[in-house]
Amino acid sequence: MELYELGLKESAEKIKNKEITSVELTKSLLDRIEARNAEINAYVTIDREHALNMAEASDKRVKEGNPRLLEGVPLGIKDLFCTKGVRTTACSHILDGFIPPYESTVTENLWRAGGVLLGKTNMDEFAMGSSNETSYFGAVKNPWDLSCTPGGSSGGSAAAVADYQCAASTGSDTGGSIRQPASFTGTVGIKPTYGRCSRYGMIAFASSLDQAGAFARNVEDAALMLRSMSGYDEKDSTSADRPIENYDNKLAEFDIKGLKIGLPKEYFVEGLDLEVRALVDKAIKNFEDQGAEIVEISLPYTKYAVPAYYIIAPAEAAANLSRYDGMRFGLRVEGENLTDTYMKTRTEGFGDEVKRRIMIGNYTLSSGYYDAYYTKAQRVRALVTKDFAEAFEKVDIIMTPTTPTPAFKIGGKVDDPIQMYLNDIFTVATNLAGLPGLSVPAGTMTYEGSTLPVGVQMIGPAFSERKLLRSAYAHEKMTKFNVLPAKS
Amino acid sequence: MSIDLKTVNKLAKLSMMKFDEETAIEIGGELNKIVDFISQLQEVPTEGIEPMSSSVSGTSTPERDDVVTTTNDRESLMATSPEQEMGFFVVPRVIE
Repeated sequence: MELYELGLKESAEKIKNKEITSVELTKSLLDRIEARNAEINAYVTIDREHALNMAEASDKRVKEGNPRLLEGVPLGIKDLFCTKGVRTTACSHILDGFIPPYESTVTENLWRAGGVLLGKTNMDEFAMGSSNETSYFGAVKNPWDLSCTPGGSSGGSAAAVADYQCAASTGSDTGGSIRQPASFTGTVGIKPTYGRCSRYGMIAFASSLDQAGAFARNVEDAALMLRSMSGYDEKDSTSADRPIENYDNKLAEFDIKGLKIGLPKEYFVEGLDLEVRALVDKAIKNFEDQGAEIVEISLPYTKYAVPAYYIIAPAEAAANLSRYDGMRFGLRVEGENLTDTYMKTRTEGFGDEVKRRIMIGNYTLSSGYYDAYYTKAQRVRALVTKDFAEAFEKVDIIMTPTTPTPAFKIGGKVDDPIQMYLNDIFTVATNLAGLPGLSVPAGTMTYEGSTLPVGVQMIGPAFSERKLLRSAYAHEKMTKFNVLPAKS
Repeated sequence: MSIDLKTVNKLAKLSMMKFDEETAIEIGGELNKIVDFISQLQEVPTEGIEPMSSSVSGTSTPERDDVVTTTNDRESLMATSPEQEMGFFVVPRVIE
């Protein structure tokens, strides 16, 4: 077994016990990335020297008998998180060469726990996409089948974990950008409650929906990663002032008997692949066999979550992305005068999907349409949220498929924005309501000639991450799912 | 409801972007499809429902003390700009 195959907790323990050094592990992973990146394209920036410096500092701490929670463990960081001194672009041309003068709180927390910055992972431009095809640095390939997408927007983070190019990574989830790629790559992905992780230094897409989260190859590692990155931050006024829970602690001490699991009938509908459904049904049956109570519930406004999302998210994006004017950072394309420079910079700097969303955002926010679209979507958002509140009066958690199908082919939906948007059908409602959700592998199946994994989604009330992770852990133990073996 | 070329050009201006006519027509077609899709919401009765702008309730977001802090220094922030001189951002001429 190669060092790069070690999991997150395993790595931290081996370093702490001086069985391996952080430098050895970091080198092993850097070599792995070098060997695989041309094919998978999971990373967009690697700073070998920076990584090895951090690893050496960790080894020194171990020697001094002072290791921290994640001491010396290399991590993949989505290119959305600002990392001081290391290029951060959100995979957009408009942030060409941007070297942040400050660190995001999420990554700051990870470094404070002893983590090592391995590299920045590929993503859809500004996190706008569900296939990682809108990245300025090119599409990411799914390690399970190179003709398929790894999902998006956190496609690089998911692919890197699945392909043993890091044991855990950060992602961000505005409408499903952690859970959908986790489903597509056979990894565990958790998006915590809105406010659990600070958004400071996380490049903004839709501020009322954006939330950081984690990927790993098993539930325990995902829990450890989440614990290490979350927490209250006075630099983000929407971050929640609540203590961090030890999510990874005593995951197995959980009695399924009596757990009330809600199955929303609106999520088991036409368009859901039958084999995906069978795998989700099997997961539900496992819980039922262990004494869980399965309750059919209704979330009647589900159908309207996607259209509401595609009003709210672009509107917030149009406002957030107005800061890119080519004056203080990133790309500048000189024009005839100041306005012309703004226009040239933005027209050249943004990709097609980002432009589309800015245009739609400005349409729904413009005078005459504001109430009909933007305010209307906010009212529907309240109804979607109310659906969940009523459901959680009856059940502890909700189980659904994460995605209607496994990974689709690269290029398969790129010409049809609506088809691409509908891929988020099971994930966006959670973001509108600000609730925690995770995706954990349900099994593998044959789809369009490929053997691919698919995930089951668990959604809980606000700040129920611990219950969700324990349920996911129980599921993991009851499910025969083998992660992708490390291919060389 | 449809977005014509005039609306595309207006939106482009609001968005500080510009497109040639061929691209504008193409974008208009895409935007129309999206607008058709999001217009589904018109069928939802929402009388008496308060618009929701955030999932965070006011009580969980404490205010911090209003004290001066220095997070970033001028030099490192200036260093990210495409062009700077004597501690100023250099921008194209504003007054003709």
